[in-house]
Amino acid sequence: MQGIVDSIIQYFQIAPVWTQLLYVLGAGVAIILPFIYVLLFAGVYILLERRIGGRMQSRIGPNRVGPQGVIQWFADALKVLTKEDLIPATADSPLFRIGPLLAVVGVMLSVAVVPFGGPWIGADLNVGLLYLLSVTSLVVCGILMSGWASNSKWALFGGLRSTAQIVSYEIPHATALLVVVLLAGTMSIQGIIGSQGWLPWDWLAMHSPFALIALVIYFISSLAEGSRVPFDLPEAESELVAGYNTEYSGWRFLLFFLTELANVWVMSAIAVVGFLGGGNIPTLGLVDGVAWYATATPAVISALPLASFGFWALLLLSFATMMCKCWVVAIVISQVRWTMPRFRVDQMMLLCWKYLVPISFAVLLVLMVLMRFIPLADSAALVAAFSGSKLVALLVRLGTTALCVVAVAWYIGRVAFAIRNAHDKLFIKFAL
Amino acid sequence: MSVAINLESRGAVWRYFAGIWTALKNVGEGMAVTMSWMLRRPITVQYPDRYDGKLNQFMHDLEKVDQGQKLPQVYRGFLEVDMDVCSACQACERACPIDCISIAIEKVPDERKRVMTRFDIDLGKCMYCGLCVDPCPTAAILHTPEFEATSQYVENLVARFVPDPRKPFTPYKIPKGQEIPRKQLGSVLRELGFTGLKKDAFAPLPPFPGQKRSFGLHAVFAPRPRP
Repeated sequence: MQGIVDSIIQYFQIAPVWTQLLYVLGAGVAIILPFIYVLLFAGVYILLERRIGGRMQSRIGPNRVGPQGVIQWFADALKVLTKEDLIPATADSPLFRIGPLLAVVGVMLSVAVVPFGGPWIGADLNVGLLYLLSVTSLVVCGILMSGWASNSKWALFGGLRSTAQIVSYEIPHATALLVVVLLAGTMSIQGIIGSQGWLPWDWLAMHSPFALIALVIYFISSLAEGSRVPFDLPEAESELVAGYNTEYSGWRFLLFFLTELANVWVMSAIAVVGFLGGGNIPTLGLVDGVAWYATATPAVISALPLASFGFWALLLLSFATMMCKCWVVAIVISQVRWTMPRFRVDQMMLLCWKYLVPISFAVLLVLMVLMRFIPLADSAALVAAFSGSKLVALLVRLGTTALCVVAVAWYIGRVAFAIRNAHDKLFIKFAL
Repeated sequence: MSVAINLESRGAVWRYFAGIWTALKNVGEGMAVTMSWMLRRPITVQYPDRYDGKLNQFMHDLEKVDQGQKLPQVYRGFLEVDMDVCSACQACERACPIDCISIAIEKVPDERKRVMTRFDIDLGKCMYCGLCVDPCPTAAILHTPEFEATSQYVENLVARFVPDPRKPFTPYKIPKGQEIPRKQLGSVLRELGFTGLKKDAFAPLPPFPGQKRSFGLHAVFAPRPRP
C-alpha cells in the first residue's frame, strides 16, 4: 500500500505537508480493505463449502435463501448475531471475553502481509514471513484462553488439544516456509513473489522435487495450524461437544468461525505466494523496453506511472490471477474436508513428529546443498543469458512440472474411473 | 490397478517410505472419489416446490434399479375404504383408539333398509396403528402405500369416502364361500383426488389470528414452484 501511496504522491506532485496525512489515509485503507475482503471471503467460502459438500454427498446443499442460496451465509450470521452473548456463571469472565478476540486478532494481523496481487499489499515488511509465523501463534493463545476460561471439561480438552497440535505443527510449517525463504533469498512477501516467474515451471514449488515436497508439507501442516479437517481435533464434534467453543454463543462464537475461515484465506494465499507464483503475469508488452513474456512482478508493476493503462491493466490481471489461484487452493482445502476422516490424537502427533518434521529438515538440508549447484534461474533468465548450469536448473524445473502434470493426469483418470464404474442408481434422471 | 503394499514384508526404512507413498496415493484416490461424486447429479427430490408431480414415476424408477428402495406393500400409509364391499358393521369405528373414523348410518323410511351417509377418516388425526384393519370382515378398510397429500389446511386431510350424503351407499351383504372383490389398493384414494400434489401446497400460510401481513424474509425469498 505504501508503494501505491508513493506513486500517488509522485504523480500528483503533492506538497510534503500533506504526504503524512496521505500515508495515514493509505494505512487506514490498507487496514479496512483486507478486513472487508476477509469477511466476504468467509461468507462466500462457507457457502461454497456447503454446496460442494452437498454435491459430494449427493445432496443439493443450502439453496433456499436467495437465488441458489447465495445469501445463506448472511442469514446465518444474522441469526447468530441476534443470539444472547452468554457467559457461564462459573467461567473466568475476563479471559472468557478476551479469548475469541485474541484468536481473531491473530489471524487479522497476519492478513496485513497477505498480498492481493501486484503492488497491492497491506504492508510489505522485510520480515514478512517471520511476522506471519509469529502473529499466527496468537491464535493458540486465544483458543487456549477460551478453553480454560469456559470452566467446562469439553472446552478444556479442546483448548489443550489445540495447543498441542498447533505448537507441534508450527515446526514443519515454519521449516517448509524456510525453504521458500532459502530459495527466494528474502522474507519479504513481494520479494518472494518477485523471485518467481509467471510460467508454471518458474514457480518456486517447481524449483526441484524437494521444493514440491516442501509445498506438500506446508499444505498439511497449515491445515493442522488452522484446525481444518482432518486435523479438527480441537473442535471434534463427535468426541468433544464443540471443543473450545462449547460454551460460546452470539457474536463471540461467530468470531471463532471467522478465525477459522480467515485462516483458510491466509493459508491458501501464503501457499500461492510462497510456492505457486503469486499473482505473477506476463508483462504483455505493457511495460516499455521489456519483452512481452517477461514476468510483471509487483516491483515492475509499481514502477509504472499511475496514470498509464499498463499499470491498471497489470494490477487488475495480477489481482485476478492471485484470486483464481487462491480459490483453487481454498477449494482443495474444502475438498479435503469432505474426503478425509479425522485423525486420532496419537496419529496426528505421529504424522507431525515422525514424518513431517524429519522430512522437512531433510528437504531443507538437501536444498541448501542443491542451491550451491543449481541456481534459481527462471526460463526468461535462460533466454536472456544462456549458460550450462541455468540449463540444468531449467531441466530440473521442467522435470518437476512434468511430475505434477503426471499426478494431475492420474487424478483425472481416477475421477473418470470412479464415474464410469458408478452403480446404476446414481444416474436416475429426475427433474431438479 | 492399485497393488496393495505388504507393509510387513520388508525392513523398517522401506516400510517408512512405502507408508508415505501409500498414504499419498490413498488420499489421491479418496479425493478422486469425492470429485467424481461432485460431478454427478444429486439424488435429492426438492419436494414440493421443485417437483414435477411424478413421484410415482420416481418410485417406479427406483424399483427398476434398486428393489430395496421401493415402498413395501405392507407399508402403513393412508387408510382407504372400498365402499362397495363395506358391510357397515362399524367394527373399525369401535376399534379406533383415537376416534378418527366417523360413520353415519341412516334408515330409509319406506324401503326398510340402512344406508351409509357418511364415512370420514381424519388422516390428520390417524396414528396409522392398523387396529381398524384387523376386525374388518370384508377387508374394505386397508392401509395403502400412499403417503402424499400435502396441504396448507389440516381440514383437507379428512378423507370422505361418501363424497355426497345424498348418494348414500348400501351396506354390502357378505356372501358365503365366495371371494370378495376388493378394488385395487390405492385406487379409491386416487379416484377421490385425495392423494397427489395439491395446488394449495404452494399457497402462502394462512395468517395467524390478529396478524395482518407477513414481512418475514421467508415471504420475500419464498421458493417459487417451477412450472
